[in-house]
Amino acid sequence: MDSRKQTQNTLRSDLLYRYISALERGDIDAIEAILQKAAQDEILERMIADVHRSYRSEEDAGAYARGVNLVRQLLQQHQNTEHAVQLTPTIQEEARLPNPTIAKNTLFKRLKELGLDKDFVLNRLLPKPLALKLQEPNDGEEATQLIQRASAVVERVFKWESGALFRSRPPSLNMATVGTTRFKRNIDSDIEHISAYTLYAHHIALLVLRTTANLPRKPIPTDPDVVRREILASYGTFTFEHVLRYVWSLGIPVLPLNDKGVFHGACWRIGQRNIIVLKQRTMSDARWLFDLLHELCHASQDPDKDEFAVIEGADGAQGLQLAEEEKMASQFAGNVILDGRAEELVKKCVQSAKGSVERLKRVVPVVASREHIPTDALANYMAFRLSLQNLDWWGAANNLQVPSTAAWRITRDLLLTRATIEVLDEVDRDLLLQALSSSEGESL
Amino acid sequence: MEGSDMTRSIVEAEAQPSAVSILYHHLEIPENVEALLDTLFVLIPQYGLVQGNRAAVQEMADELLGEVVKEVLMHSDRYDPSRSKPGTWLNGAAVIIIKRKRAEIIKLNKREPSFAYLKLDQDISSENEFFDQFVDPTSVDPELGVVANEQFESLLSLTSESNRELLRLYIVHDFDDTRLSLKLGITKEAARQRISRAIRQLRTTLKEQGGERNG
Repeated sequence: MDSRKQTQNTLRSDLLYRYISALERGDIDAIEAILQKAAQDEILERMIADVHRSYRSEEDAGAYARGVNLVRQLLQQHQNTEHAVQLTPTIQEEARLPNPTIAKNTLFKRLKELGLDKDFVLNRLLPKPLALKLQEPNDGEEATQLIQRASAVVERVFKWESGALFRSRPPSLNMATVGTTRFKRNIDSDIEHISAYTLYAHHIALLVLRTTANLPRKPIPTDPDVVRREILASYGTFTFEHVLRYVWSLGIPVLPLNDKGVFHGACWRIGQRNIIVLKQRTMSDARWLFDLLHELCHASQDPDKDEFAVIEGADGAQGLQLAEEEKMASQFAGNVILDGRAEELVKKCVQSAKGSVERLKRVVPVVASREHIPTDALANYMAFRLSLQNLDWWGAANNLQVPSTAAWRITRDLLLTRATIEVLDEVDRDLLLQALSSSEGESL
Repeated sequence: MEGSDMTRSIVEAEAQPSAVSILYHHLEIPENVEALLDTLFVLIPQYGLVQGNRAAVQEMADELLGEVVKEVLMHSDRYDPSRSKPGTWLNGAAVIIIKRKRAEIIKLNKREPSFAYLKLDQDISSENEFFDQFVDPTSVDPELGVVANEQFESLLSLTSESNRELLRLYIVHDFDDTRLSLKLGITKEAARQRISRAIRQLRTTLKEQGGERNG
């Protein structure tokens, strides 16, 4: 081997070593630099391709087949026109087949694959008359029209281009539009459903922001004492409704959703405007109050940022690995509700329970009564504090709540009073009103 | 462009290979698509686009594969076959789209703690800038220079004897899968698999060494 070639090979082996090493370290600057060099060196490029290939695993086999098919379809589409040309029967084509039921089933099956249950589609996404029609027997032509109308609504919510649902390869859920979420639970098992619902909630939140475009905005206090003082000064008493009105007075609309699971709260800032979403299935005003103030704290953070997203996990064990911001938001909520005494009251509960979690359920009502604090509010804060020690006490806290659906109704009614729904077109108006119906299947 | 016009242009391309026809031919070969997917599978987690399991990586790779192919076809007029191979062009596009995706995610989610360590990329504001980024890759960084490959040699010494020999042929003597298959009397596919296995062992060894030897 001549010396020039030997030098080249030495350099190449060094670069290959650096590349493998950079992959192991996650050093993207080094990865990029070496990829750029590989673009000029065919042999190095081939070696890097082999390195990439060495990461293959058996579970990727399906993905490779899918990828090859996808590219084949894209080439076909590009060859004919820039718009979709189908290689397999589309839903539209199926709708013209003798059995329109198959076409409808295909639509719902495809939506189900994307995380959208049929009940959810019929009750939350589609206008009632259309949903009812879809559930009746239809002939081919009518089925085609109904499916087109239904898909147009779904495509609007999920920001898919027109006809995306009809294509051979279904569209994907683009979570980038809502900001990558910060779920605090294991979501692997039902990622499609969670992602789809989050995109839906984001769309509804955008509609609410449009209907409240003229809401005056004020700086959001970050001190819990100031928040409590301002609420009492404005409204006289500290109730869920008064806190809610206070939040609105800061220019933050609050959207109540009433579906199962997924998440129990969210705070989005979109174009410098905050919106809070509450979706708490626990029928407790105290829990709603806690969540509302928790989200208010998020809304107060980083006021110079134009956009952000915080989405709270769904289940009671959400606090097992809380980020600092989450802890801060819950401490903020606890201190507003408990008049700055949150930690003092926790200590009293722990002392009375003599460190026994089992005894807490009996102790919390006693301490709350002695200190003239609502039991449910103290229970919620205790549950949060215990979650910091990896103890899930939300179940016990739930049992100490005063059952009530008032918070949800108050939140919905205030939104309907303050929102200018007329600015929305018919489809979006229906979507918003159906989101605000009391449960899946019940209209306003 | 109407379908027939496009078809005609493809037919014309057959007579005188143009950028688009070269890209078409390249993408029609499953192995090339798989290689592009290999790149995506490796780089997607590196750039922190998804934090989940392999299924999440696959889902993102699906999405980005479509974007890469569409972008490359849409801007095929900017591809100069005399300057780079189609695979290189596609890999370059993949890296840029991954970076663009990461910038989108960071922008939309500046509060996401797990992304806090990532730096924002240079602003890719126009399609021209998008493609200019890999039209003329930077030349070899002289700082890297010819660093003695002692580290690599010492690493090789930790691999099995058969892999060591194979990697030496592969890296030091430029043996590709064809030459390896002839030398070892095995099929090309078997040679490819052995290269993969050997590199995997190299990676594992490096990982066990802490991945810091050359940091």
